[in-house]
Amino acid sequence: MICFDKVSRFILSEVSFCAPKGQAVGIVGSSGAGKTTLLKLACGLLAPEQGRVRVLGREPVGEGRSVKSRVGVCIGGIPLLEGEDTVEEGFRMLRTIYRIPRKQFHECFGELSRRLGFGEFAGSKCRELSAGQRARVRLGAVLLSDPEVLLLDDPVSGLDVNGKAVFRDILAERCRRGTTALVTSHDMAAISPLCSRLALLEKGKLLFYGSEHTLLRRYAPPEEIRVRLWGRLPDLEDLPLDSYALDGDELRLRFCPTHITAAEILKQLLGQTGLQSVEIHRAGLEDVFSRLR
Amino acid sequence: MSLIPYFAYAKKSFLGRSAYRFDHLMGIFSTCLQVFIYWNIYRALYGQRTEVDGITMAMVTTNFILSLGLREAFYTDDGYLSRKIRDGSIATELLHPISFKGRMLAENLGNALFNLIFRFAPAVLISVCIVGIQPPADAESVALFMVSAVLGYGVLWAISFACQMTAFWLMNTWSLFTVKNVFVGILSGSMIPLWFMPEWMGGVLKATPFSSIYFTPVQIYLGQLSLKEIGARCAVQLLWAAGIFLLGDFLWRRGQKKLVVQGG
Repeated sequence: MICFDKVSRFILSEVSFCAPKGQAVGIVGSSGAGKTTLLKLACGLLAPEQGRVRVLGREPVGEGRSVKSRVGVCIGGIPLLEGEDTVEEGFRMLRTIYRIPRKQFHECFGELSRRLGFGEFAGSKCRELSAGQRARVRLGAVLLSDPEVLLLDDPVSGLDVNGKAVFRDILAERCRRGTTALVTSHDMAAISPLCSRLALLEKGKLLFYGSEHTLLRRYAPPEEIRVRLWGRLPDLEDLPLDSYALDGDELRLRFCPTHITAAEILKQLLGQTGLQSVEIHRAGLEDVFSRLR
Repeated sequence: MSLIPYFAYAKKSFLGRSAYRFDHLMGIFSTCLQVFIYWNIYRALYGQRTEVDGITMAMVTTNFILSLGLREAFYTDDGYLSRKIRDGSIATELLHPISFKGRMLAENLGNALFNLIFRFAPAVLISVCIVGIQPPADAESVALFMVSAVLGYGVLWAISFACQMTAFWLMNTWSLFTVKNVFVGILSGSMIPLWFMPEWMGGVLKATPFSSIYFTPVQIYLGQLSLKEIGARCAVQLLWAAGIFLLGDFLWRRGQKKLVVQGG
């Protein structure tokens, strides 16, 4: 479990939330919102000015081996492997540092290299890897010790579609086994499939914390249905619409999805008139985020 | 605490060192050259005399060969921490579940062991063949010389460790290490044997850690110290190493605090 209790540091201001065990929490925000600061606080690289951070029941600053070996951190600019080492040598050194049993290491390294696709360049020096290759290796390195807590800063950056899908599967598997993860990104669409909860940060303030479903239900802007009529103008008086407008033969209906669904509106319309075409415009997560900002 | 990760780092640095063959051939050559130059300078200074103030030319030569040989073996990577702070990898070290200080020492020991085998031994052997060396007082002196040399390395490493910790506050530690190396070079007796220092300066030098690095082991090798004096000198070496290490450790804690509290 990872808990932030009214934590302030740099831009972050009184951030409070708890990531329960076995959950992946997506930290979303634009550049400079405080996402990386939040991860550095969680891993003890920064101390809070105010408030309290607790990871695995302890304050991470100054923690010893017992906690450090249970937390996997992947933050941009903090290398996990040494540039002069080959990928395989780097992983072997991590095995020694994290005291991973030999058999477990071989199984885990084999599986991660196969799934993330870095087996083919395991003999290359880390400093010679491309950005995409480096992204795969970094993820492999942080997952190798099977940590109980994962703190990942924009982990999907540099991954191709296949890599993102593999990472999503691995993260889901780890969370099912009890791993708690904080995953940051400025791309909400990329992060939401990975995480069961979202934390929206803007200029250091936590705007929302909860599930995607709750976020959409609570903050989604009105949806819109555009229909081309095939008959008379229907009676709309009984529908709980925000607004409607007729433009030629196109009728635009704006409504709040918490009051009425698109299916219910269409059922009402079809009961009164014919329709040539229907377009439904639903708000996405980015629209919600834009609205909240 | 498991020592396995530290052995792995020591092994890695030992093997990494072997990749630079030209570098260590040049190291051997440079040590032999320095011994040869110093030997010629002191031979000229001694002229026809066999000894000066009871110090024979053979003793002076032995001091050069052993102290310059040990200087070649006593490897300390003075820029280690400042490089890690500059490239940001200090954060990686703070996240790893092992001691960074332990890693620093292990890597230095790996390098030192390599230098001891492949630089000190050949350099001493070549120098002995060219200029000769005074044989040790007895077998016991050789054993105690080795103990004292290890403690001397401890003092040198602790000085380097403590100086490196200033990298948390200084942007550039190069000038500090230049001063340190001048002090170590001159005041340790590897350039000018401490026998020739004025009496008052000898007293001052005894109160510094520098004479503990090379000069104490050399004096033990030459049989200039009684068993009681050897015990006292080794205790002094141990105290210097421990005291300077504790100072470095204090700075390390302050530096770490600076990183996590001030964020850089």
